[in-house]
Amino acid sequence: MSTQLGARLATPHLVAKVGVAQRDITPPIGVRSRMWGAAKSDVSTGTHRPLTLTALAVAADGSEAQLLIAVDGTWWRRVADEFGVRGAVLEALGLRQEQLQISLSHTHAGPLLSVADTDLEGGELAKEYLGSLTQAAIDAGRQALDERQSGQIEWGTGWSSLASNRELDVDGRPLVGYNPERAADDTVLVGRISASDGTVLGTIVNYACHPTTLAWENQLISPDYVGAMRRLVESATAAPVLFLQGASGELAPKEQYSGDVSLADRHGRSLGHAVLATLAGMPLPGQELEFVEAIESGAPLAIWREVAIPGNATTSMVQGAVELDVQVPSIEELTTRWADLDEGTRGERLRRVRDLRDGYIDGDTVQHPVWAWRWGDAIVVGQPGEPYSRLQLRLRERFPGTPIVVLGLTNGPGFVYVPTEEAYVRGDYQAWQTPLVSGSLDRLEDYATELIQGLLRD
Amino acid sequence: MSTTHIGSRASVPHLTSAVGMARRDVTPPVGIRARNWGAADWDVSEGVHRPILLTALAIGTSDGAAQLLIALDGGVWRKFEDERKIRDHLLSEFGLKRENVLIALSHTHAGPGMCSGDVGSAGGEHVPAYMEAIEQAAIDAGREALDNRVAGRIEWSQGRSSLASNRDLDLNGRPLIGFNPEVAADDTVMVGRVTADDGRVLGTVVNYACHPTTLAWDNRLLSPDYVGAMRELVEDATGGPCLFLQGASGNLAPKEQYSGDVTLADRHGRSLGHAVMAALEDMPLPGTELELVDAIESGAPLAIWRGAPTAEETTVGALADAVELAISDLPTIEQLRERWSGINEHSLGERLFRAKNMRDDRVTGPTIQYPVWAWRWGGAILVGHPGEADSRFQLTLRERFPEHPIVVVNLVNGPHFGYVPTKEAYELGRYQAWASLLASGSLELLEEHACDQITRLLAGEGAQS
Repeated sequence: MSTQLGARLATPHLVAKVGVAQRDITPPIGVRSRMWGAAKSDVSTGTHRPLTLTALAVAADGSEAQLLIAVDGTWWRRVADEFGVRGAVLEALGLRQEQLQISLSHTHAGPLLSVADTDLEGGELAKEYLGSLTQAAIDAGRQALDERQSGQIEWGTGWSSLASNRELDVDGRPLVGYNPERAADDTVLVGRISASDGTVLGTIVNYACHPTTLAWENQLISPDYVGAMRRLVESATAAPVLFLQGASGELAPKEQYSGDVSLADRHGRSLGHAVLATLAGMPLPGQELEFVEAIESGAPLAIWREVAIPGNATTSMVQGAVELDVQVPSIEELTTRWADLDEGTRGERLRRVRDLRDGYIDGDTVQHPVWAWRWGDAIVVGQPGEPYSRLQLRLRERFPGTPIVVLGLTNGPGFVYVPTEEAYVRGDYQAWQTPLVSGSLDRLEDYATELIQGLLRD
Repeated sequence: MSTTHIGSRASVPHLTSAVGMARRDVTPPVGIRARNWGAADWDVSEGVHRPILLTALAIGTSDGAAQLLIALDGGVWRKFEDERKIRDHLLSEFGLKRENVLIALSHTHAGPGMCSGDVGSAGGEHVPAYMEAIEQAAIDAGREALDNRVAGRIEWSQGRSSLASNRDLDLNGRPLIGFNPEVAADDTVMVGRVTADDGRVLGTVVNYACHPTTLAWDNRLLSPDYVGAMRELVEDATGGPCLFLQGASGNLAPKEQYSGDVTLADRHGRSLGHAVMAALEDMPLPGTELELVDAIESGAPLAIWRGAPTAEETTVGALADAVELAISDLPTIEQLRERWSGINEHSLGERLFRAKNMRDDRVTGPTIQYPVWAWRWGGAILVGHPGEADSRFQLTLRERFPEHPIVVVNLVNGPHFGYVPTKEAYELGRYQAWASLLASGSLELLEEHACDQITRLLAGEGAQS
């Protein structure tokens, strides 16, 4: 019960072979980048900060490799586009499906990720871009796998006030924007990847917040807040950052929908400093604290010192799917519902609905895929949707002491919101936009819980 | 139902005032007495890790009602005349009212001796000149801060830092001072951004509660402890001086501490410094706060918040009244010598020296008048007192006044009567309880007194104009 001499403050970790590689994937100016209904322009006119793709390869002794690829990208509009990239990486690197997670940052100032819109302005460049993105993923993935070296991934938990709740209700009208009356999950999960000699090889940042600082008044390609965060952390650590978007369905910056890139940079520095605060608060690589001695001085003192971590080297992985119910109005019904909107906005909404359904919805249910990896003391759970933050809150509550990295917008198909029951009752955008019915978040939470229990048991 | 509507504001608590800041380096000569630890078998400093600094902040438009806050990298005033002499000089030099001057110590445990009684001890020959030097630096920095006041503002934000941990550990019934992983620590960082009207950053106020005890007997360098690297990081990023105010940290300290490794102090400082920067970067631009200005249809129905100018908030107030606290039933020095006969000579000597100093010049009866300073800076409150309160003090005040940033500062002015611990600390026989002159129940009385002061300030009492 009470703390005894020899007690440890564990640093959750994995000891394994690790490799990190990064590529610049900034698209050419003029690429199609229509992300906002209110936007007047369809193509980019410049670049705010570079887009990057960062690969992390992990393999414990005698286990198969796991490859995690973090991409500055918005979202997949079609199942075929997502699997076009992922399938090519699997084939080129000889990996099975459960070994690979490709995760999008969800920047809303990125290029279109589709080969299907070549008839639209900037669409041809977008098609070419997806080809170069695929090649960058293969190259970085191969380099990360090839350059694996003995090392460790260690976890720290921090906080950032960047994210706010974005479920606002004004006179009974649900809006997507900062609600000062509700708290937001502010957890930043930070993974320090280092070689056996302590050299930092990279930093994993898992944070849940829509990168929607920049919107229709911005025509520059940008990673949004992720750009300045990455620059700050990378310059302080001299190693690449993998940013992993968390379950941010209802989370976004307080001030957003802006054309001002300096606001995105302020947001990024705020998160970046939170990451660096967490890193600076961790014991040195390969270390954790132990209560080693009690001595008399001016006062009786308890001495804690850094000692070597025990070296958890267990990795495992599982891929499965949870069955979720869907209920979707017909396209005709939606056309009637949105008759009062201007033509551009209505067209954009209908197009999004069609692209979401193809290849995912077949009947009254979907098989929503989930990937779960164990990295020693930590768990990585990825899935393609945009769940509300309750997913990560519940999972972390159910497995206290285990860092749970929760990824949205990872692999496919199923690029849909997974809202809370309350969001359906209120009639939030996320609830009427998703084909999933109320209660899906509970099922996803329970399914992820089962997968994690299985991994921790083995 | 939500009460947010078009025109709603997410307010930034602030003060609109003339503001000025100044800085002096008060690093003493190497070789000065630096006896901070019972376990140390040495007495004098052998070098400097990072400079020892004094930072001044002046506010107020009219000279008669100006307030001067001086933050100094120092451990503790062992004799209260030493502190009183400096403060009296400031009061007379600038014609300030007693309630309007605060001298706050960072509580570094790697700082120089600041006790006029040390003159005959090893390294003590440097102490009188050093005391003169900090007095002169306080006057110089105070004057510069007052003279250079420009129209500006102080705006507040709140962050979190995991540096501090609870340091009340029980090992099989033996109370120790050291990291207790089973009890959460207050992790609040209050950050005040001081800017001129043109938005230029003049400085940063950082209020955090954590004993600067990273460095201990194995370190022989003068150091501000974690405050040094924190300050450097924040100053490099903002271009203005950073004024550190030690919070109610009686029960809080870094997890890893009592070290000789200055790089550990620097890691601690960077951890706190980045937490400060995270809070600063999340604030709206100087002079603005967010307003819900529009609801528009895009792919989704969107709520638009934009920066809007804040209203002027110019109320400055000050109260400096005392609360009567009981002195504990103190053992005699001989009884203490007996009680501690089993411990090593250095530690015993240090404990008896501290006990004598505390008794000599402060205890005149069964109760004492314990001074508490409370300032109102527009929407924010600053409470300073000479002792070392348990973090419950700041938690209580912030819970009672959730609408206002409450800056709580230990080790402000004097006289210092030691720790102000919880009743539980007395029951369990913790160090903070037996090392204090104050009786159990003092923390509760202090809390009530400070709450009363804040209520009065918010009602307009103590207004300075």
